Amino acid sequence: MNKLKTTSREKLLPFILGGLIILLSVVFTIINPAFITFSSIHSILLTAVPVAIVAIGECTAITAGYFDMSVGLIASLAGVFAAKVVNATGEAVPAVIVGLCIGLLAGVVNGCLVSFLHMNAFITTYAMQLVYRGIVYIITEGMPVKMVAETCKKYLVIGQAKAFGVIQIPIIVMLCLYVLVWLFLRYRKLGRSIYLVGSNAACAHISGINVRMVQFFVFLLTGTLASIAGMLYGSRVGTAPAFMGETLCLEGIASSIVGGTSMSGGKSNLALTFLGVLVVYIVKQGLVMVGLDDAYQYVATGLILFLGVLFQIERKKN
Amino acid sequence: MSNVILRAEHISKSFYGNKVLDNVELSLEPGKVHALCGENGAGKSTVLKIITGLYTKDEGEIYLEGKQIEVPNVDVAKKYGIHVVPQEMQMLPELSVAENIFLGNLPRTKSGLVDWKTIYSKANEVKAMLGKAGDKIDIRQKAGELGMGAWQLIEIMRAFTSDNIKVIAFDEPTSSLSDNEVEVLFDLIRGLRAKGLAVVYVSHRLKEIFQLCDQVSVFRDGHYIGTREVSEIQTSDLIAMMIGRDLNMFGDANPGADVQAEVALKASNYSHGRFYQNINIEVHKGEILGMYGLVGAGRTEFVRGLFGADPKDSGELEIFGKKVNIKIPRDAIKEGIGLVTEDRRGEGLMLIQAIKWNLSMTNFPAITGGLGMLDLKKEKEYAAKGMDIFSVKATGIDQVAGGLSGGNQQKVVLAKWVLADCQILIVDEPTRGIDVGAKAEVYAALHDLAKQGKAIIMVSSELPEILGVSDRIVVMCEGRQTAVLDNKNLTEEDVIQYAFSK
Repeated sequence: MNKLKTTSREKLLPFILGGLIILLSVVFTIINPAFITFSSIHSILLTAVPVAIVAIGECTAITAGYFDMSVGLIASLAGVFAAKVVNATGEAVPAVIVGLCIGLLAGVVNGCLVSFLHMNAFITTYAMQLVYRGIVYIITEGMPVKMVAETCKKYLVIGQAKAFGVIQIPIIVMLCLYVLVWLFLRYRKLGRSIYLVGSNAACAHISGINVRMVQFFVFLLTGTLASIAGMLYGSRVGTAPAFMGETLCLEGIASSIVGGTSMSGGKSNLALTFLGVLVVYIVKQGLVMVGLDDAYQYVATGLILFLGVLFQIERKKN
Repeated sequence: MSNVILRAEHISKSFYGNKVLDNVELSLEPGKVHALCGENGAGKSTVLKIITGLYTKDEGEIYLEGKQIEVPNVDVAKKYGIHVVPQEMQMLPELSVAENIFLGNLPRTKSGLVDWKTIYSKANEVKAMLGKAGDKIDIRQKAGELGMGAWQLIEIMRAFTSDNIKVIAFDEPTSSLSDNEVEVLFDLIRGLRAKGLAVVYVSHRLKEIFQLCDQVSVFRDGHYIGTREVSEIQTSDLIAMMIGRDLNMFGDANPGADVQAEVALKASNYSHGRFYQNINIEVHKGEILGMYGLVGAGRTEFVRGLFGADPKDSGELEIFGKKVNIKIPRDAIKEGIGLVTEDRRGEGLMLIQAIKWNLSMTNFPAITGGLGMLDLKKEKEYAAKGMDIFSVKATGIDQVAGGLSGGNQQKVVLAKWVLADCQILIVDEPTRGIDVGAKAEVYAALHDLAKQGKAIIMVSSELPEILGVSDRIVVMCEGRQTAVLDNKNLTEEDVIQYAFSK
């Protein structure tokens, strides 16, 4: 008993999340055997892509000690701009470059405000989110930007083509990003510095780490990842929505916290964040397949976040 | 023995299966200041917390005036007349002093509203009980505008609001006070003693025990070692009881023996506003330069200015004869300077991270392998080496730094700079809050480093430490450099005279 308490839940978390995923899958499969089919699993992963990619950024940001509340609208902004470029040119490359640049630029703005002007990250990114929302509205007048299948083929193929005829490309991109950022956090000085700055910025500064640059970089990363999430979604569904799921940002944060990312910074594991995303999306998909109304998904997501936070509070007490 | 007011017997307490107190005892007499003494983790604070209701005991009995009592919490303890001024003070900075005094117990009018008239009149009454010490406190002032010394007075006033005070316990009350505030507190405690209260006093500072206390009980590793009349013992007796062996704390210091001719660091005309003005120092290879002064003398600000941790207005710096310009810590580290800050938990360590990360963060090149990737195997070896240098006691390099004792934490901080191959090491209050045994190890480590030719600047407020460890001593007073002394046949008086303004 004593050992269980002190060896910290951190070590148990992978098993808890893994167990939860298996348990949920079994339950949903019993209710609806179609749940465990390849197409169902593929669809869970595919719908999870935007949140999963945003969660990489949020996990990193929270590790560094921040919440980036602007990612949802950065995704919208990038998706919409890219769609406009595609509609105008029919070319994918300039569209993707424009989208990425928007993500980067938004990251630069957030990063400057927070790490160089020392503004509170939560409020600042929330305020910027409102600004981006306004820009999106001005450009689109609130209407989704449709991409015509014939002329926009080169761009839509990114979201719709299947690699080896089996797995849709957004899933591959998402998995690659997880592996890359995981490696980056573990094996690069900058990645390690993100953990150190989030653990104790004053100590990091005294120890020679460029705290501001690290913080700045984190915002570049969250912004860029958000723009990728936005573009992948748009090219998959063939429409860039003006306001991509209001919940994109919050679900990203929620998954990251369910995955054990410490809300006080300095502790996280990107692999577990991915499991957190899976838990959230298995529940969502499961509820749909069980035949429950969309509204229940919100309740379920809320409850999952609630449990994730509860788990962390208990951990602190130890 | 008939004069005992509170007696605790056979007290045991465990946390998560670790026995922190094993069958200890304590007897308090009215009109006496009773010190609880021991190394960190010896159990002295735990004893205090058990008799004052902050912790509950697992086993044992507590008798108050001969009758057995149970103190499950602080409120019950207060009803029995047992009060505590805890180390971590509960203060609401945005509320007035008076409100803080009556926190959780605000007097009310018949209609249930807060009775401000009574609050202020009663607050003034208890303030009067402080005597002179209370002069500087306005009960309508916000608590946040006052310093730690005043907060302690507020805690004491809380106890005074009770008409039943028999025992009052202080847990490390001086750890965050300036010397002036300490004097005020001591006078107040002496006043409490004169009123016939039994005072419990927990402190790391042996000097204070001899200044203030009548009796001392010593604990070691959760065991009760014994109680002595302070008038009948010497510091060395006390240390022997605490660590169970004789110990020459400062090592075989032969001041000046390791000092080499080459100047490692030369700072000229360092100034920063009102903090310090026109400071000039020189440290040689192999030298330990002590910097002494009272709290507020500007020593910490100066060394932080040297390191680039805080800004400075002016000053020129030469490192091994080369002019350098240090603006931020990174510049200093490049020049081979390391800083062990005063605030170990705040700036010295990443408490939530493993020892290995704490050790490697000052020297990424050493753990970087091919393609600029961190080599985690190299890091393990690097960290293991760091643990060896100062024989850090831990379960391994993966242990979280926050789980280490104060002494071992300090060794990790020292090791992170030594591993980074610093030639000049600035240590600010290197033994603050660590126990006697660990202090001796830190001193030995500093001497060792000096022998290897490192230059060391040691800021300290403890004169015995300054005299025991330094080769030369710089004394500061109110931001000015008042003396540079060779540490040969110096007495405490020789040094301290320069620390006071004239």
